[in-house]
Amino acid sequence: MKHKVQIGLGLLLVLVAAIPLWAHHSITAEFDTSKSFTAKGTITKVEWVNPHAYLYMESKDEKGAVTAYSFETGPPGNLRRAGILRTMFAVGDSVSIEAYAAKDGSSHLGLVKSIQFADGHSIVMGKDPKEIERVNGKE
Amino acid sequence: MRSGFGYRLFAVVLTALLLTASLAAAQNAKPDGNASSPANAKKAVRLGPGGPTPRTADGHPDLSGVWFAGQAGGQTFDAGARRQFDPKVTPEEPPPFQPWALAKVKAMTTTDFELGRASVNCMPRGVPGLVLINPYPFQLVQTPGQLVQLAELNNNFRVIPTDGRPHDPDPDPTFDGDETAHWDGDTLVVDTISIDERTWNNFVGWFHSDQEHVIERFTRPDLNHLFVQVTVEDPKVLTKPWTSAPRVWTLGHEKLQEYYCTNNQDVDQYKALKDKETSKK
Repeated sequence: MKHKVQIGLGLLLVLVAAIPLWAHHSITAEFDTSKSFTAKGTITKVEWVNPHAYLYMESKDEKGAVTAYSFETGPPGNLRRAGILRTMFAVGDSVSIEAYAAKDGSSHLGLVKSIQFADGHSIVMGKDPKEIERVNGKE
Repeated sequence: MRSGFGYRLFAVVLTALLLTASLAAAQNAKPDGNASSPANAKKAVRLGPGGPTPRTADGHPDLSGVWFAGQAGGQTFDAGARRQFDPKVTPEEPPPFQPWALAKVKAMTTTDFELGRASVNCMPRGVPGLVLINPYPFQLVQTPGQLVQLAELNNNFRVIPTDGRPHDPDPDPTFDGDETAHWDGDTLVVDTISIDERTWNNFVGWFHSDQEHVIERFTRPDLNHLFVQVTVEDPKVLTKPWTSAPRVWTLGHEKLQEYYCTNNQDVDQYKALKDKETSKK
C-alpha cells in the first residue's frame, strides 16, 4: 500500500504515542495492565469513532478456526494529534497486535499497546499505562 | 509470533530510541494527504513566556487562544510537561469534607468511583470540572463583555458575561451553573452558583450540594500561559472553602478536535462489576 511504503521507507518504524491516548476512562478499571496478550490476524474493520477508535481483527489457527477480536485504542482526536491516522489501518492488513487484557474476562477484547504490520513497521500506542495514569490522575 | 517478552523488549527499546524522530517521519509522510501534524505533539517543549500579555482595546488581558493543559502548548507524552502544578511549590489540600460527607466518600467502593466518574458515565464535567478535571484542550474567545469557553471535551461551551452583572435571582440548576464575571485588575473572576448536583468536582467522589459556589480566577501573565485558580465553597458539604493550586494551560497553535464521550460499552461493564461486588456482600 502506498502509505506504508511512504512511512516504512524500508526501515523498521515505530510510531509512539506514550501519551494519555486512553484518557476516556480509567485504564486499570477496564483492563488488567499486568496481563498482556498478542494476537496475529487480519484487520476486518476500522472503527474511527468517539470516544475511542476500535480495530477489529480475525485470527485463524492451524486448524482454520476463526477467532474475532476487538481492540480498543484512544480518542480519534488524541490519536490524530499523536500522528496516528485512520488511513494507517486498512481492512485486510496482516497485523500482530499486543494488547492489555480485559478485566471482566472477555478474552477477545484488548487495549492496544502496539501493532506490528507485515512489512515490519509498527505503531506503539503506549507502553506503561500505570505510569500514564499515575502522572495524569485518573481520567 | 514473537515471544511476549521479546516483543515487549523490542517495542520498549525502539520506543526509547525513536521517540521523536519516528513521529516526525510518519507525519512528514502524510498518508492521507491532509494530516494535521502539530509539531508540539512530538516532543516535550516547556513553553517560555513567548511575549507580553496580549490586551484587548479596553486594556484588559485578552485570554483568547487554544489552551492545552500543562506546559507544552500541545499534546505531549512528557509526563512532567503535562503537569499543571507542582505540589511541592503550590500544594493542594484535599477537599475539607464535613464528617458525614467524608464518611459517604469513604464508603464508596472502587466501582462506585468508576460509575460516578464523568469520564465513565459521560455526564458533562460542568463547573468547576471543566477546569479541574479536564485534560482536553479548550479555546477561549474573548469579546467585549463576554468570555466564551469552547471545550473539546464533549464539545461543551459556556458563555460568561464579564460585565459584572448580578446573578440571575432565580436560576435553574445547570451543569455550568449561573455565571457572571468581573475584572479585578488583570484577573478575570468568574463566579458561579446553581450548579447541577449530579456532577463531581474530582474523579474520586467529591460530590457537591445545591449551595455550591465556585470562583475561578483567570490570569494570563504572558503570551503563552494561562492560569486558573478555583475556589469552591459548599456550606452543606465542606467545613471551609477549598482553593486549588493555580493550574497552568499553555497556548497551542492548532484547532480543537472533536471529542464526545459516547460511552462505548463501559457503563455496562462497570455495572456488571458492581453487580458482582454487591453479590459478594
